[in-house]
Amino acid sequence: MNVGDVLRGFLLGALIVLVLPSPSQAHDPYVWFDPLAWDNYTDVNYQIDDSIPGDNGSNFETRIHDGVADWNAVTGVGGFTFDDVGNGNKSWGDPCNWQDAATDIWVFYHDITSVGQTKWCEVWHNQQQYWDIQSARVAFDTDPTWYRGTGNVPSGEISVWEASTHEFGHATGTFRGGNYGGHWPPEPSTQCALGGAESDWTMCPVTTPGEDYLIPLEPHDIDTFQSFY
Amino acid sequence: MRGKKPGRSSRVGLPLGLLFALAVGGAATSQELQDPAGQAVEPALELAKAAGCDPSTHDVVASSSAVLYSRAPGAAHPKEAAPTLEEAVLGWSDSLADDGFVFSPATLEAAAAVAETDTSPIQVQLPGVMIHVMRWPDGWYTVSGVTQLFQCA
Repeated sequence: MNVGDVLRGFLLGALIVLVLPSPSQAHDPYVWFDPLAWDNYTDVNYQIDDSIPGDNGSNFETRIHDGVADWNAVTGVGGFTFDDVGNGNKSWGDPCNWQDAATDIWVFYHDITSVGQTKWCEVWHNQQQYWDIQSARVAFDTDPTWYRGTGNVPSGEISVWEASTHEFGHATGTFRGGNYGGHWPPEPSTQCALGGAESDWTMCPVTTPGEDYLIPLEPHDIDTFQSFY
Repeated sequence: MRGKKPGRSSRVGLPLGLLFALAVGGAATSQELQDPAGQAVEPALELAKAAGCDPSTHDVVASSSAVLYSRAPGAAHPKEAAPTLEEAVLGWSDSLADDGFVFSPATLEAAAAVAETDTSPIQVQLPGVMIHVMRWPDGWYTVSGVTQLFQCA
């Protein structure tokens, strides 16, 4: 067998593989790979519910916007943008009842079973063969003492800014096939616990009172967000 | 001039190299269809099927959630943890009810008991709902990840 012919054949085949579109190129990658995301991701609007403590423009509300701004500052995400569309009044309920609502994300202060929570309604479109997010809601629990400033978090308090950055991270579309738990590192992991190697990743599911380790975004948070879009 | 007469070996060599390259390239391409953990690309669809939906013929609506817990310095587990898996899951029954999914405590306990023997990550599966549970080193539990409730369109 002529080694040169084998080599030429290999090179020809490699050229074909390179020239032909791979699945991720033949399709929009966000369509091909479990594309749970917003269909209008360059304009994902959010609204602050009146339940958020303080009047419009309160420190609590400002820190929520700060968390949103952390994600909006990331480049290389196809123009993904959260847009503030003001304040309003909405009742707490299943986000799947809001599929056709004009506001994509409502932000609440509500009695929940954790410090923060993001709920979203996703729809599998049989004809198009993809998932997308229809609506979502972010909730801050009524139980913690929330720190509304930007300095060192006082002992025992939870940072609104940190929780906002974490929850709006979910709203970028973290719940995908390769990240089924909606957090990273994949759960269960003890690495997110205080002192763990990844305890400063924004999308770790555990925050430490008196600290704000989850902000700013870490390279892994940014890389993962960029991989979505 | 010294030449080489084309023969059987050269006729075989070229296609062989071609096939090898295509096989290598194809394998690399197929890897892209899996997530980094090597799991199926669309686990949510498998859950939807388990919930009785047929995503090959119908749309599926799913209400999902993810939570952020607080854990005090030095504490063994988050404040929201429960000493048993059953209690951790039952603590979410009100939240599930908020979304219109109401299960009897007996059903939840039965599902939690099954999950107790499962490997991590612990997944408590009921018709139409999947609950992710994390077990902390001290043995306490939190519903730590995503709850997902399916409605067949």
